[in-house]
Amino acid sequence: MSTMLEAIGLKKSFKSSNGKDKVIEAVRGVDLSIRQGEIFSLLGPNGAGKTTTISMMSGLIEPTAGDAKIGGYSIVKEPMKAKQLLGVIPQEIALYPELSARQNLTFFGRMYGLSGKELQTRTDEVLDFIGLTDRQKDKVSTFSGGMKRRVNIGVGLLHRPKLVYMDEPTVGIDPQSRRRILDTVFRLRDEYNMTVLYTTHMMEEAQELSDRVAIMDHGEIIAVGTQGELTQQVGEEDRLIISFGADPIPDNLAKKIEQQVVGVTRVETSLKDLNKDTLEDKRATGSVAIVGANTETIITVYVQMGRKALPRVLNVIESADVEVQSVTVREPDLEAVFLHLTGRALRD
Amino acid sequence: MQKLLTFAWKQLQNVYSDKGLLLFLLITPVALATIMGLAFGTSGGSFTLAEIPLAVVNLDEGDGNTNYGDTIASILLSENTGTTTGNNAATCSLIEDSPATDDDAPQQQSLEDLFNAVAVSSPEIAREGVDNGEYISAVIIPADFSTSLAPNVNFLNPPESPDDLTITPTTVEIYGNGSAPISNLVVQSITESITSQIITGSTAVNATISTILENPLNLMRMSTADDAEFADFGCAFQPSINPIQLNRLPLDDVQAESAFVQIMVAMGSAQAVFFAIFTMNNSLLSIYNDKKQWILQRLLMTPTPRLIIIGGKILGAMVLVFVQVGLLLLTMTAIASLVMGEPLFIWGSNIPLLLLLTLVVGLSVSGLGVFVIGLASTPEQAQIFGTLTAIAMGMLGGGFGFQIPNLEKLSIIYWGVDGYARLSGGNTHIMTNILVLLVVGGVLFAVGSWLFNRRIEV
Repeated sequence: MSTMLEAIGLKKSFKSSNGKDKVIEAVRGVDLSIRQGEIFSLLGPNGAGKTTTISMMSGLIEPTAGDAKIGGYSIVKEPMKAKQLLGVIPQEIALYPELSARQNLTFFGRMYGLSGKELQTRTDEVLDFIGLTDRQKDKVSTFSGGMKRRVNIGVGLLHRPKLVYMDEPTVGIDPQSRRRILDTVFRLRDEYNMTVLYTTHMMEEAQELSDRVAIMDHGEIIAVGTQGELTQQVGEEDRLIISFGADPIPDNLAKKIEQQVVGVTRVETSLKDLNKDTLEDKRATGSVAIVGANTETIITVYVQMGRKALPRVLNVIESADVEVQSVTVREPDLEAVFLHLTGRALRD
Repeated sequence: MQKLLTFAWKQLQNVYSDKGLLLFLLITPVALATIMGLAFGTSGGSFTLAEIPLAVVNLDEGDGNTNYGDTIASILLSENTGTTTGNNAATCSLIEDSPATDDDAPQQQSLEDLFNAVAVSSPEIAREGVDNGEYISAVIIPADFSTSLAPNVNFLNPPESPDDLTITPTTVEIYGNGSAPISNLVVQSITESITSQIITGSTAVNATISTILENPLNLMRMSTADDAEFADFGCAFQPSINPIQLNRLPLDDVQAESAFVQIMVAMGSAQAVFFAIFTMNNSLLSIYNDKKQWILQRLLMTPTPRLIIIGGKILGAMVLVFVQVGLLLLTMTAIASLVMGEPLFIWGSNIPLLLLLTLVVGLSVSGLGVFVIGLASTPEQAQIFGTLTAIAMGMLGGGFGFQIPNLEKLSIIYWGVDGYARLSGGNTHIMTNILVLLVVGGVLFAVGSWLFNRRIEV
């Protein structure tokens, strides 16, 4: 399989807007190689540098160092040839709201050099592909979020690109539209033999879609491979995630589980602020912070053969006379890989 | 090219879909120019015609004693305001100085100020000069002009009846350049005034002769009289003696009308350039909206050079500028025609130069627009900078009915208005205006593009 996209030492630095000579390194030397016809996900938390990397690889911003080649054409030296092979589907709805779906497709089609009968035919095809033929003459401003996303995708596909960048295309849409978009990604690969570079901070999407995944954090690629290759890095450990609600738990509960259950490698206690919907990582092994009405205490137990170990863990909890709200058993996944590599959860 | 036109079309669609903006860009300049033009024009403006390039061809051979052609030529050429008729030693002014009776009355110009007249040897050369724009008008005095006016009297053999005294009709040709109807009207009016006075003088002489002929005793007195007694006779052309004086009113009327027309030209063109700045700024400002909606970023990821994106927006705005200017030119023409009572295209007849000047004005304001958006880092800043720049240019260069002395040349509006005024007066020498507008626009465009390229990185 030939290489469709190759990034070599891509770097991007910005001058800080408030610091005088302070330089922010948004991307710190990214190397990637994506093969023709594969779905490749760039997974990382918000602010990891995914969009900056895509912006450099699409010629939107100039790299501070390095280069990217699309179909053999350098985005720095031959940007017009490289861009002709590329279709970009940005995270934002980059459409003229006052124009209809068809007018938007036609306008952007012309930007890719399409015209006349060819442009008309491609527009019809894309409208059919995104399922908006019957609404083609309606203004985009009258569309729902999901329909706008579909037009947004259609614009990037009109010129039949060899490589498609999809930058978090499911952000802020309903589950039905999300499902439709994920199915579209498969169709692009399977029916049109397109190569897809898909960026997301949602582990589930990366797991479902990708032939290969690159995990990005703090402007660097920290791991690349198939899902299987990546999960091997965290070994065979499962995670038992036990929630106790707002009730306080004994200080020594985590220590007891670690000592009394065979196969447990470590136990972490954390507080989830129900208002902020974020985890406050305490990493406490004994002490527990003050628990209020809007917080939830969670214990994460890292253990081999999690399903077998679960009854023993629950026995220890029962002996401490604490009420359990919920229990989740997580087998090794990309979330675990990220946690393993960075010490942080992907959604942090 | 397809991409450029697509952007231009999109830009026009943007404006067309915003009815409020469309009205502001097209109707407001027309309304403002009309109101200001009528207000300034009817209250007496300070605009006057001056230095009208004029060729004078005097072919008059005289009638042996008198050469009226020399008289007309010397007046037009402003060689000597105390022109003699050649009849005798008496010196009589043909143009009476207008007494200053009313402080509010329009100031009259001298012919020296009004005309930049030169003597030309042949009608062909003069007509050619008019055709190629060197002169606005040529006054061609025929060889038989004096002969045809002089009374055919032989005192030794006088005619039997006064009816036998006739003046043969003759023609003074005024060959005008159609590009400057007002200037031509002025030349025609003045030449007619001078000529009519000569004819009046001639008529007075003829009447005197008729009187003599009716009473033979008078003839006896004349034959014995000395030259001093004929002094008044020689001054038949002097307004204080003549029953029909040189009437200055036609010239004043024409001047007043031309001042009105010129004010309409000045106001119309000032509003045209002033609103062209607004149109261009507004058009280029849409780049910031595109950036906000991520459309610009998406466009930059297509195989479309940045210059095409800016160029397309400028092209769209340029079409609007042409529509704006066209509408202003036609409206001002219609109003001037209504006021003057006859159809009159007040912008001169050199349409190619008119279009070229409009194009150059469009390019120049586009340079200013790119500079403004390059200077600003947010749409709000660009909006403020754009408005301030337009107002500053308007105040300096005449956008609000006045100019700031010594600083007016810093304004694009001044150079545009001056160019339109020149063309309106039939003066095709607008190369300096075009060069200044192009250089200023070019420099602003280059600096603005550089700044814009630095800021557009996202």
